[in-house]
Amino acid sequence: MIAVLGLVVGIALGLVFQPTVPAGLQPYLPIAVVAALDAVFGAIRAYLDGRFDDKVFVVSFISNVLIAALIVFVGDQLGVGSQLSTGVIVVLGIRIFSNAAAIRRHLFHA
Amino acid sequence: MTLLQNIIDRPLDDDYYTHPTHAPTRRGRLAAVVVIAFIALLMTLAVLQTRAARPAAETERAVLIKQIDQRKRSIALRQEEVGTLTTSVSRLRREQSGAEALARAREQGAVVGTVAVSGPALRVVVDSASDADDRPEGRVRDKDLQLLVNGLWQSGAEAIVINGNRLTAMSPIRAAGEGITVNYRSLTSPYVVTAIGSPRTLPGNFIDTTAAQLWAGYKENFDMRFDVTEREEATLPAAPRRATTIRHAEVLEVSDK
Repeated sequence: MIAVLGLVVGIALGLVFQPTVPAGLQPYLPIAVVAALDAVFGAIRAYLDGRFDDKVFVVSFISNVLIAALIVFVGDQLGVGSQLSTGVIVVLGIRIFSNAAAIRRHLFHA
Repeated sequence: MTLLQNIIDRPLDDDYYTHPTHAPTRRGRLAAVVVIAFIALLMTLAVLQTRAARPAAETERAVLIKQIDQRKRSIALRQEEVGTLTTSVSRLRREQSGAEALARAREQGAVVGTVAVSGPALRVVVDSASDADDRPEGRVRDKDLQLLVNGLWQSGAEAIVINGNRLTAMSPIRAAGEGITVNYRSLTSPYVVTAIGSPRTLPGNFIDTTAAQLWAGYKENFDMRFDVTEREEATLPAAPRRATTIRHAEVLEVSDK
């Protein structure tokens, strides 16, 4: 219930204010989104496992986003930004899929 | 592949396993809500940005296509223009050369005698003596006329007619039996020779020629007719075509000069 409330508030904020992302941060936006998705799926799975913890969720989300952004930033400085972005997306994508599979097992017992 | 294996085996953050579970606190929930809201905001932003970027790219593309079309149209227009101009250039060139050719033909026609001309003239009337039948010396012979015509040419005549027969570059003056022919046409006496030329120089020059002096002698000695008069304006007809038809001579090279 609370989570849905947060979701609605976030989307409403984005739609109403439509804040522009600073040009310097724009390359990190897709990576941040993927990292956030990973945190969300991990949290849902942990919740279903009975292991959910607010603090862990908040900290893991922030650190995931920061680390992903840092990797992309370093890659940009080295000239391999797109490759490192791909790597981050692959790793997070695999985690998202396996978490989603676990969630599915929990919900549908299949 | 231990890395991938790792990821698959422990898909959750380690913290979920190492951190001891405890009862949810108010602050923790609030933080989670804020984070979720932030995540939602991030995703909304990403979506919005991507959707905003797409129309921009499409607009740019449409503008480029429009520009290409415009350029193509203008090229076609220019090419059409080039075509019209090329046509008009060749038409003008043709006209120009036609006009030039016409002018040159007219000029040369005047020289050769294929066009009628008019201008100040000298008129010489010659005839045999009245008693020419008894005295053959008093008769006008072809050579006498030739001499007269030659004297006129020599004096600067530009066109000559004998009894209406225009002299060309090919006109013979010759005896045929009793008579004299010019352009293969028999003449009847008296012989009227009209020559166009400068009114200032032609009469004086002619009087000084041997031809004129000889004819003056004929007049004196044989009582032949030799009258020279100046005419302000005379019109000389063109020579007939048969007098100017070329059958065997071929033009080798036409130069513009």
